[in-house]
Amino acid sequence: MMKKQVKEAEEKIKVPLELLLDKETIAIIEAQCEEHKTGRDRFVAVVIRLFLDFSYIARTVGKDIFSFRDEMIKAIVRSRGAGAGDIIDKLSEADKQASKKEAVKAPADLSALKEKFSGIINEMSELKSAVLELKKSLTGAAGPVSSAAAQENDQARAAEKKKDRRPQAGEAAQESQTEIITIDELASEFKSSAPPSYKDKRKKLNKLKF
Amino acid sequence: MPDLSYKDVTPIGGELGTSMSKFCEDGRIIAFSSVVGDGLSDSLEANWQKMNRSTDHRWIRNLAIYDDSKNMWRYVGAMSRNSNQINWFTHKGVIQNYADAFIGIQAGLFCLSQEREENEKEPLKKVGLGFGIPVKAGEVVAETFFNYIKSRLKAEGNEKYLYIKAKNVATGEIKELKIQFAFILLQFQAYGAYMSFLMKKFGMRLYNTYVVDVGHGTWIKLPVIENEADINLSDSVPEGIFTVTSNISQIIFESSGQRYKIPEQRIMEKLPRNEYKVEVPGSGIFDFKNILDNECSNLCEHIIQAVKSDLVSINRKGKTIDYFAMVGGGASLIFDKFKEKIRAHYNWSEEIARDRVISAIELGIDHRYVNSVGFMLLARDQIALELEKEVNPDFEITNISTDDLENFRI
Repeated sequence: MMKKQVKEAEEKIKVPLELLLDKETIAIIEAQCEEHKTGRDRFVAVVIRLFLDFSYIARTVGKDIFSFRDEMIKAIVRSRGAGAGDIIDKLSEADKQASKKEAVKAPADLSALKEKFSGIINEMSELKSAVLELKKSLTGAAGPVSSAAAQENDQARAAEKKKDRRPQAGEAAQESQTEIITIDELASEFKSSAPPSYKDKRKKLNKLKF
Repeated sequence: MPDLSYKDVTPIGGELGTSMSKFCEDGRIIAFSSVVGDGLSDSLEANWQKMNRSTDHRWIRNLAIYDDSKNMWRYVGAMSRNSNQINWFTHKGVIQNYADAFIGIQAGLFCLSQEREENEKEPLKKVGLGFGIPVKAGEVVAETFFNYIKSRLKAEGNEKYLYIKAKNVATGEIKELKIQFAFILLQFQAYGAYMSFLMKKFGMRLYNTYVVDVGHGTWIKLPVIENEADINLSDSVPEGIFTVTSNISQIIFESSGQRYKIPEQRIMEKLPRNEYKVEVPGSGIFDFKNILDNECSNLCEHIIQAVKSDLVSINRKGKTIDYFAMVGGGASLIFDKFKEKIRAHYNWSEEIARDRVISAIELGIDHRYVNSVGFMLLARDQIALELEKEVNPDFEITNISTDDLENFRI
């Protein structure tokens, strides 16, 4: 059975991209391969891995991947306050231009935008660990357990997570109620991801001593 | 090396607000009107005692403090209703008179000590005071006020004592109290609220917090960035709940054909009871709910404009605000509007706004008392630092005494 599936997959891979994708998508893939100095196969593999990762996070917070992406970008930008208004404007502008297919961005604009996106991608990867951390803390909050039992549970959860990371097509999200985290809870984490501890900063103040 | 002389110091928090002064010790809060007045002459006072039919004989309601700088009794808080001449401790965010403010501190410490005794505890003996001063007072005034307090303490050996002579005017009882002062720590008023949030809500984590304290006569803004008050952006604006209620009073006056003026105090009294109707003689019942709503919206708009302007300055410095907090007596009227405006500014969802726009209610404290609790925590922290210990961030307010009339019976 397994061998048959692999064989079928290998045959599909042999089909030229031109038969599966439209010209514009192929052009994007080619440009990205050029930029990242990599081959089509490597690029597609990475894209699929990323898709699965983000799909997993989106599913965890009860969103589809596209609305998750949109809300995440908005939450990150807004968490930076009013000064981030121009970023939102630029993103909206870029979005409009892309949808109208009117013009190609100048290389300078593109690199500036890419720089901003790379920050967002960094925050997204932080978010991913925050999701896992939150999930862990929510599961842990169910009740006190002995350390051995806790370790055992952790291992079981890790195995479960591993299984969850590559969901089968059509598989329904079967998260328990306590493990569902809303997008707003996640976004609120962006107020400050790692605030310093007061214990490290407390100091003797200027007091009038008698 | 820990300084063990701080081992027996009781942390106290206090502030002289524009309308009410509040003092906190552990789970106990006392609050009285921020006003002091001259005492009656001995014969008039004796007559007043005979004619006084109130059954509320509590010290806080009938308090006089002996002012040794003037060699006379001064009535404090509610008792000043009988004074010919009254002085408020602060006006438009500025301490009016150091001698009067000093009486306010004496009254606060005496009432706290009295409450302890009534709960079968020892009177206060040695205190460390975290004290909130109006934002506009600034550091120069703080220094001068420091020196004034120092000049009023009495030295015994190497130690300094505060002597308090108090009288319950209703009963004629006189008590004297001697409290050793370990230290006084002055901070901007709204910083107390920040300390309360830091210790209870933030779990001792430093979140940049923008505190707005809406009081009776003023509202204060105080951004706290990385645990430090941003002095350049802090301000005290002479506009508060008094502005709202006096505008309502004026509108009623106009609408009654300038025949009848409702004192703003009467409108103020109705707000905590959610009553919005007042009888205007000759004109019938006047419902001021819509006017109140509009006035609160106007006040909130002024606050939001200032907040937005400050956010631009804060962002220019590369900083962001994690939490917006609104406290003070006016918060119960303004908070929801404030939260909505902040939510709209950032286009946050309801959930995010609920998380990041906060009030003292989340700490289980009335909006009015959160500063005094925070200053008590600040004093507690300083004592712990002197003893080289961790600070205990826990608090639970179990008792609040005010100078409002109790057991009203004739």
